[in-house]
Amino acid sequence: MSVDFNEVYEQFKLPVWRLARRLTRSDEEALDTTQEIFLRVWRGLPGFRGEAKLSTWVFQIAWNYLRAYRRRMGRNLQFIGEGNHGDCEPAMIVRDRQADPERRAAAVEMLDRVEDALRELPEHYRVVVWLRDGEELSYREIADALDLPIGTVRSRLARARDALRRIMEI
Amino acid sequence: MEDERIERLSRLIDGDLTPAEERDSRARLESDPALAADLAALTEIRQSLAALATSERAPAVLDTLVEPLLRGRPEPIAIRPWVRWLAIAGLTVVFEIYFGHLAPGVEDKLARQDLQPAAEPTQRFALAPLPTSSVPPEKRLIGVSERLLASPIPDVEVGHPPALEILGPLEEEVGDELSPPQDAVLGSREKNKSEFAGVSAGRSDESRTRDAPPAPRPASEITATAKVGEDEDVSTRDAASSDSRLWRDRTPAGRGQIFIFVEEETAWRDFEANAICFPGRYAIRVKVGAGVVTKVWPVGGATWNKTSWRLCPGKLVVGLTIDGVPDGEYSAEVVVEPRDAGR
Repeated sequence: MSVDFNEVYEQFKLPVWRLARRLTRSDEEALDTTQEIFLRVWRGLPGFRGEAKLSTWVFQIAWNYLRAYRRRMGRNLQFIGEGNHGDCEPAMIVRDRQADPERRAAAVEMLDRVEDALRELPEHYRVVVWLRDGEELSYREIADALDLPIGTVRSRLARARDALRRIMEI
Repeated sequence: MEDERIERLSRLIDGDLTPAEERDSRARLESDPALAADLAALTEIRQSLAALATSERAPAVLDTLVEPLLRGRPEPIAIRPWVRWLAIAGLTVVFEIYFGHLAPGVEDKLARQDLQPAAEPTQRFALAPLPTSSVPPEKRLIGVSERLLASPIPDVEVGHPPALEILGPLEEEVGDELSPPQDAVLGSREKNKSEFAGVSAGRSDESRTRDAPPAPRPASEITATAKVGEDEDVSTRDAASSDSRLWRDRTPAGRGQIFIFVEEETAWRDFEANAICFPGRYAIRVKVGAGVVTKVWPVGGATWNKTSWRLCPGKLVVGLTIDGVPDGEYSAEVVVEPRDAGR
């Protein structure tokens, strides 16, 4: 099965970068790790035989790398905070430009709240809820990518959503 | 919210419920405003996360970083110059230490051993794919021990036995745990004809104490002893038993004894095997009720022993009558002799 790397990159660069950003919680590290992930995708692509879905395979590589990266880095991680958006600060965050200023402000506030709440979740909950709600992967795809039983995905997803609800006090 | 309730709502949002479950959930939502509020909150979170995802754009610098890959050349990726020079210097030092001028070359080493260098591989294999879901769950290593631990120990069936003798304390241990009971080893060159005949007449003679009164021999033993003389020449069988016939050979069991340790006394009896087990000694725990062995548990055993294997003697002794032993649970031992022992 022949898959063109350029197509894979175009299809997954945003999802992989978003996942990296969620898990590293740093824009700079998200860039570095995304680059490393695609290097691994590039190396592994000739051996990809289509036994798994491409999305599952890519996210599996991403998750394995990010998890190992987090372990290596331990606690020495930078956290996205006020004014810590690095080189890509305003350009990469595109909020609802169509809405009126008041609605736009409310929407931006909501996104900030959910982003902050997400940051507080433990990693194994954060990745599940993000892959489901952010990247819209199916339960099966998440289970395959994270190498978890599907029942675990269900329960973690429910707990993650419940935790977000509590943190955001909705 | 309790876990089950929140999971049901979460699955409802994702359309993961069966039609019946969904109908049930919808009905509950109509009658439970708090549940409906929870559902609305979870839905809002889901939508917020989706909105967060769509609001983000990958930075353009990412394309620049990955460009070498897009052009099929991964080398120039993000290695800072000083890191590169440091790596080169380090590798040079390591190379000099291990493969420097003083160390003999590979060819020299091979020549000393009169060997030829290996040929260059003619075929190189692509990278293997990463582990995927194609590995079925039962073949994954994680969870095997949990499944084994969770598997129930089957009860064994009740058989039909004869009578029991109660003896004094068991002071003399016969044999050891790693070898067969001496009296059960067939073809022992040290044993003469009469001694061998005595084996079938009773392991009991060796098991009891010197001070204990001799127990009357059960009728089954006497019958078995008589068969030795009738059916077979012992010396012939002795010669036929070679060293290759190890006591652990999978020989169908012929007979055995059970020893039940009741405080200071040992209750024992012979029995005829009605099942096939490996010959040997089995530590077990037994439950006695109304003078009958009603239940058996295996005790210890090597980890590679299957539970069914360790339970095998249970099939032989469950249901045996054991007059004189009070109701309760006791440590016990079963000795299973090879089929032709004492026959």
